[in-house]
Amino acid sequence: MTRLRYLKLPLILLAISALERSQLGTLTIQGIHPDILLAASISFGLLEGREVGAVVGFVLGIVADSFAQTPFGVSSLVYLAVGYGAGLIEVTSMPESKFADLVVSLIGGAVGVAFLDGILKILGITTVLSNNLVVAVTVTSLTSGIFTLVIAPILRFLMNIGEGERPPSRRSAGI
Amino acid sequence: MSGSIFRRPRITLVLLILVSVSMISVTYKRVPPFVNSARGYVRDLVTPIRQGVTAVFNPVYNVVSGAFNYSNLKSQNLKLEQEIAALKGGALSNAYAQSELATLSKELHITYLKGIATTTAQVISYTPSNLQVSIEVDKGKSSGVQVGNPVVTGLGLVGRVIQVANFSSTVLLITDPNFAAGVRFTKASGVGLAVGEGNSNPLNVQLVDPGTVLSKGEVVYTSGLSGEIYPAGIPVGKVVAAYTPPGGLQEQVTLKPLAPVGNLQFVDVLKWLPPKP
Repeated sequence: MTRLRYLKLPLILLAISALERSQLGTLTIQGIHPDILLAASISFGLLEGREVGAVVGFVLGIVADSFAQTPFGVSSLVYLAVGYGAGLIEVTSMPESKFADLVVSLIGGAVGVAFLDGILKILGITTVLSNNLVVAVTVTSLTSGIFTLVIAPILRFLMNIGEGERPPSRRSAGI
Repeated sequence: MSGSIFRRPRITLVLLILVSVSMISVTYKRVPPFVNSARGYVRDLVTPIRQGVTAVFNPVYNVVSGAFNYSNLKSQNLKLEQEIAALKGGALSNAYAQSELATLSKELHITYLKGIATTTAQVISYTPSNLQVSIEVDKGKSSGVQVGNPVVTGLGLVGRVIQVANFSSTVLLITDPNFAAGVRFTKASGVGLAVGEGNSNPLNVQLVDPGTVLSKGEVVYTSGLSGEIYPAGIPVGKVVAAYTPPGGLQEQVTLKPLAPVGNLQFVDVLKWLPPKP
């Protein structure tokens, strides 16, 4: 990730946070909100790699936690884990394809919601997810997939990532 | 990975996890004041940008929404016109009942909403989160809004303020699973505890004595009993269903909220806090 991209990143994250809090906030499917911040974390993981995915997930989680009454850090923990997980595609031999991104997004969305619900249950907190976990997993998974397909080209353009270009660390990344 | 800022994925991951877990540990039992301040700063930062984004996308959203919902809007408009006509008629007969109620309230020393100061707030967004069912309103500390203030519309209870920033507040809606309010029935004597069941689901009233006779459509009000966090007399919802299951220890009662919690534009924040014990 070059320094110019690094400077663009906060602005893009701010725009995504604002977008999430706009009219999209009124959108619910079967009583469940599509989780745009989770989907954005997955998209960044796919496009920029596991480390950026984790950092973006953490920051967007802070934003999500700022508007909720749940303990601070719950969403951060989930989003960063999912962002990192999506970014693991960079160390696989999976060829670059929209289908692969879609599959990772679908799985990431489902795992993210299930993980979030699991943490909240451990903490003894009741949320909308508790009553509708199957619906929540389905809705979030599908919307994450759709969102990634829509937003990935926009993020590619904004972050100057060429088509077919995986994160620079792919397969050569080590600690 | 030359030219990279991020270099050590696993170390970054471990550090971020540690920070997140630490934050959860610190804020799990009791949220420290500095965390609330930080939340307020994030909200104050995002809210103006959100309003800009909304201004850009609103016309597009309205066009799309209007095109798909035209027939619904037309029938809704007709229904509202009929309701207005019915309300105009009802208002005349209510005038006498209100004067009678005022006299009785005075005699019984009951405080109803009439004496409570309110501030009208515009709903700026629904919280797009599955963690809680809430709305953001455009009034905050600067307008005297406090955590715990009840929020209502002309039709009934909407929720209560749970977070306050300088120029905005978060209101937990009555449909949130963490919402609970003591309620009393009008026709049948009895009280219960109304609990939210999530977006677009009716409220569930718990702790209702089995055998309590409730009619469908009966309006339920906040009880205002000792220790209650809402003042007495706010309409909460209408009874949708009530029955006692065989061998049940309590009656199963569901309520439809009177306030249109899924489509709010303006609300009234009551500058009222529960009396300290």
